[in-house]
Amino acid sequence: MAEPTPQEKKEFQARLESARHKHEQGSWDGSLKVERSGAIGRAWRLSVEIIAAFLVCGGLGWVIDGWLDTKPVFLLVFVVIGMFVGVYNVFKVAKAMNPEDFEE
Amino acid sequence: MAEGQGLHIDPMGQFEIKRLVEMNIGGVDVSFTNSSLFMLIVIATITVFLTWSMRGRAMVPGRMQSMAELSYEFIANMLKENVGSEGRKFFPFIFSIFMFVLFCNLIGMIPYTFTVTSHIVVTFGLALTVFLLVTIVGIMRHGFKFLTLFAPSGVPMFLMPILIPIEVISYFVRPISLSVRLFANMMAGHALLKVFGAFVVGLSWWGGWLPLGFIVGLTGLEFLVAFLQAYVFAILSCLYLNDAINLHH
Repeated sequence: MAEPTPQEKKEFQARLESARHKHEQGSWDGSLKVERSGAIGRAWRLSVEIIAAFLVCGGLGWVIDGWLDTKPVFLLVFVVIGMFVGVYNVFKVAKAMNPEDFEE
Repeated sequence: MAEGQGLHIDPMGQFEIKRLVEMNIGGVDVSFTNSSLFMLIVIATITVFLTWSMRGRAMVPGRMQSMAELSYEFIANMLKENVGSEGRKFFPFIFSIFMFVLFCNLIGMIPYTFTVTSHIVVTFGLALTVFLLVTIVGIMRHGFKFLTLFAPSGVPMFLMPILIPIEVISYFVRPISLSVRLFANMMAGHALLKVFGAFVVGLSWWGGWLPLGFIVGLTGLEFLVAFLQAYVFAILSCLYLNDAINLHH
């Protein structure tokens, strides 16, 4: 194989640059392409969001109750907060799934 | 002899951890268990699958090489589409997690094997790794600006005191939701298979055909779940990474 001339090297460099540029450009248009998993994937994502918020907030309230010896005040408060957080998370996920439905 | 003994169903027995080699370091039980054994098998299988299928390095890939290349491109595209070109650095991480979860789920489908991902400790460990990495990456890239992640944009000022705590809690809910999703799917599916398996045995040859049919269907569903949950785990890791790198939601 012959050694490439400086001319060829330059051309190659230019082509490489433009290809790289194109790759970067095409890589991300700023939108989230979240769901390819179909309905069952969406269902799992949404349902577990609520349960997990409940678990975390309920557990947090229970631990605080254990510390302060105030059973069951914080447990009840945090379960209600957990409900809010769960619904809020579902709202956010649903929004990311269909952004066009949330445009005004 | 089966008459009068009732149906013996033990759906949870399959998830029992058995110590194969007892080990104890400084009072901490670090025994080598059947779970550890299957994790090693999973890692060995992935390594053999990827290296052996790529050994030909053909320009036109054969069947095995196609599978390896497809799994590579699948994750590469996932990162590109959801995180952007910045995400390419994290390809090894996401790819390892995806392959590990996928192969744990698939190897668990072979009878008499152990499903590593059916234990919440394992899935929580994975989810916590993702969570910590994402948090560290976010703080390293943005410093204090990372905290703006918790302030939703386009919300009136008077709602902020309510929404910021909710955002903070929902951030810490992430590792739990990530791990519960995977663990619950795997455990429920395998327990269900076991229950129907016990029905087949219990009803014997005159009544066992119906549950046997169910098992065939459920096995198909479980293969779907095995792929789907690995995919969901990987894509959510990508989305969390995207939050930390690009700071918007």
